[in-house]
Amino acid sequence: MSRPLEGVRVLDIGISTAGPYAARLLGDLGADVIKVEPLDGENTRGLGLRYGDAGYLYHVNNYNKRSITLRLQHPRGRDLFLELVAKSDVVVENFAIGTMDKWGVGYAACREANPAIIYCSVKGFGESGPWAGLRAFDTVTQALCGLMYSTGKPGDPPLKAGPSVCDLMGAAVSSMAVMIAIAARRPDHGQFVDTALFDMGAVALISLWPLARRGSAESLRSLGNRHPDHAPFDDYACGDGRVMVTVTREAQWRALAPLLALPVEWSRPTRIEKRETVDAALSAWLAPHGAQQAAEQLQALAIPAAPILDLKQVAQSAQLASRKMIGTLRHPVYGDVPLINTPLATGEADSRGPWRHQPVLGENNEEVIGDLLGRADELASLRAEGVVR
Amino acid sequence: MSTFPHFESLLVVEVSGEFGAATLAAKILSDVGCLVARLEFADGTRVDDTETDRELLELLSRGKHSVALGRSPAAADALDAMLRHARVLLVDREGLLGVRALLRCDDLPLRYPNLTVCACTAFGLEGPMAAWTGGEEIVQAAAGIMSITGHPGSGTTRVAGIPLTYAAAMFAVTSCLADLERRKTGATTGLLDVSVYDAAIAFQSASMPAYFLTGTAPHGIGNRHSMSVPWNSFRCADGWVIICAGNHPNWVRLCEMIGRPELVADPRFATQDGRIAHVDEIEAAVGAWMRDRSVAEVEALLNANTIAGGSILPLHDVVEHPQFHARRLFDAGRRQAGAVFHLDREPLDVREGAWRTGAGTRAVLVDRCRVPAAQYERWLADGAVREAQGVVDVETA
Repeated sequence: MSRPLEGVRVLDIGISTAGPYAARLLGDLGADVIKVEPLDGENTRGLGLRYGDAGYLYHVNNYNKRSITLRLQHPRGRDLFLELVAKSDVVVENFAIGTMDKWGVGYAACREANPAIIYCSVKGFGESGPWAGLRAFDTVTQALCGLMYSTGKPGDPPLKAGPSVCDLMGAAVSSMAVMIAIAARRPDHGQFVDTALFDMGAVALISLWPLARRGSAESLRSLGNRHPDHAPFDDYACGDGRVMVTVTREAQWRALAPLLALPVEWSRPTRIEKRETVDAALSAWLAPHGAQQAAEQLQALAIPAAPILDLKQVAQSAQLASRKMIGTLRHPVYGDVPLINTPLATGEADSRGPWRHQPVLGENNEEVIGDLLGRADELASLRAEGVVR
Repeated sequence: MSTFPHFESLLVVEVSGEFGAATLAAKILSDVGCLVARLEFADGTRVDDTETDRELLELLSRGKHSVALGRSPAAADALDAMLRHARVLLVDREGLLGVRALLRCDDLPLRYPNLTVCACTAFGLEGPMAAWTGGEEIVQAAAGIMSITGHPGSGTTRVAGIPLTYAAAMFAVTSCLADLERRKTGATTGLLDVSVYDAAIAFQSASMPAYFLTGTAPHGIGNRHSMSVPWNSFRCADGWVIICAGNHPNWVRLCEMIGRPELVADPRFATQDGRIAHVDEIEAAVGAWMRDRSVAEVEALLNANTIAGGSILPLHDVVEHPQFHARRLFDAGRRQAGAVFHLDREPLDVREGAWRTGAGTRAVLVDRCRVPAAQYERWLADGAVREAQGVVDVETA
């Protein structure tokens, strides 16, 4: 079966996660994603834990793409990039504001090269507002959007999320916004898509907006694993680990109360008032159980509960296997690389894994610059001038 | 504001029992211009919603047409009429079971070949946890997110808010629109199965390799970065700041900012690997300089020296900040996410007012789905469909 975005070409000139992962999601849907890298490679090739000579983030953010090298600061590099724009549908970039314009490849230049281009600017704080020019990483946006303040245990310092949630939500919204622009595109009508990690961090806290509107800053500090409006709602010790239990509905309490020998008629406000009593009873019931067994027993009664698993347990779980979210790609250079598959759905059970391996640096120079742009006879001089590696 | 006239022709039906990814996905599709019919069953009124639940429901129902149905065979006919005209059906687990039961049909894509059917559930439709109930926190526990969030020694910790649920909603919207693109080629597809759990796994891209490569599970490292130093939160005289100065230019500027330029030349700290090996000494030097300074002073210096970092703000202050307002994340009543992205320098439409349950029933069934008026009146008289007028008063919702 054909892939939804076959025939759509995307230029990915991003670095790190937000831009490249957004472009990869479009590649997951079948777009021809061309990653444009500096001559020494995108930064994640040299970052952190590695498979072969490339950092893991590079592998996972860049499968389903081709790679070319191009020195954009050189006039010939800039011109080649704009020629590629003319043959593409989408540009995704996540450099600091002004960088693409400085190189002569910002939205104005891209639109001149291709009036129908969809240009996606992924920024820490977006293209507007007093913080637009600030340096930003995922962690900075987590701090400034309120997420760190509310994450963490009471009494502890503020805490960032373990995953780079603002980066990854920024990627998710960027690919979605590009998909929307593709679906709505008109001939010769360029579209400038502006996304921000900060916006997504703030939107991720939408469940706390009513509290922020009504309450004080103190009411949002280090919420831990409890919920101010619900009880029981926390993590609890079991015989072999911990389990998260989140009772938010009266029907759930009516199912749980008999196990704890507590009154089924205790309302939500009463349970909050008697939180210590409820927690003590639940802890006593959970203590002799294994975490998995306890969670299964509670779930059988439609009570929200789950064991708190570490990544080894997750990786070995039947749930992960059934979701096909992890696979191993046999790479011609890097060997077997375990990869996290796409979270997008296509209606086909076996379509989650990569359909194209992550490229080595400049792997597709000949087919893109040579064949697609018809510059095969210039490749030698481009290399000699340091425009292409 | 931005408009997408293209989407005005798309009827999207949302059936969700709980606030979750399906509700959020339908809100996004409504914001870009789709006509979203939010299906509400007449017997589905919940009595145990909190004030926060009601406010969120009001917020996420804005821009959607509320269609109220009963559970009778005639109500099934009304739903069938909607789905024959709709292009997208968004359901959570409860909604999927409800639709299947009402229509007495387990294979919706087969019955409605022109309809994109997308299930947005906690754990997906397959696997031993498929039937599990629970929201964001339950998925964070089972998918390993809590295990990698936490200060050392403080135990596993959930991430505040609903980042995974929101991500799943965006993945659902992207998947639905991609499916509509593919249908332009004449293709038909099966049910789209999007889950919060899959989003959580996708979010482990920086953590999973530690397990892949070592066989050992990583755990929370507080606010540090495993690949970059200095990168942490530091206590000032009146609060906390975050500093992310791991790359070499940032490191050089930070050393100068804290009056310790000699650290740049120290061979122990010359490389990233060296700084990671000596993280405690570096953080002690930075922390000593921070301790007696105010957050405002440090933040100003970070900005002046173009070093990535800033204060750690409570949402209470974030929503009052000019940046928040410049991005138009609130409406005039300070409730609504008006823009998850901007197009051509403008945010998406900000919608005001959520329709009362049933306030969109006639508009969707008669005006949009072309149900004959006489047929509609019979359904109305039989209680198969219900009507109402006006919008929800959020202060008394």
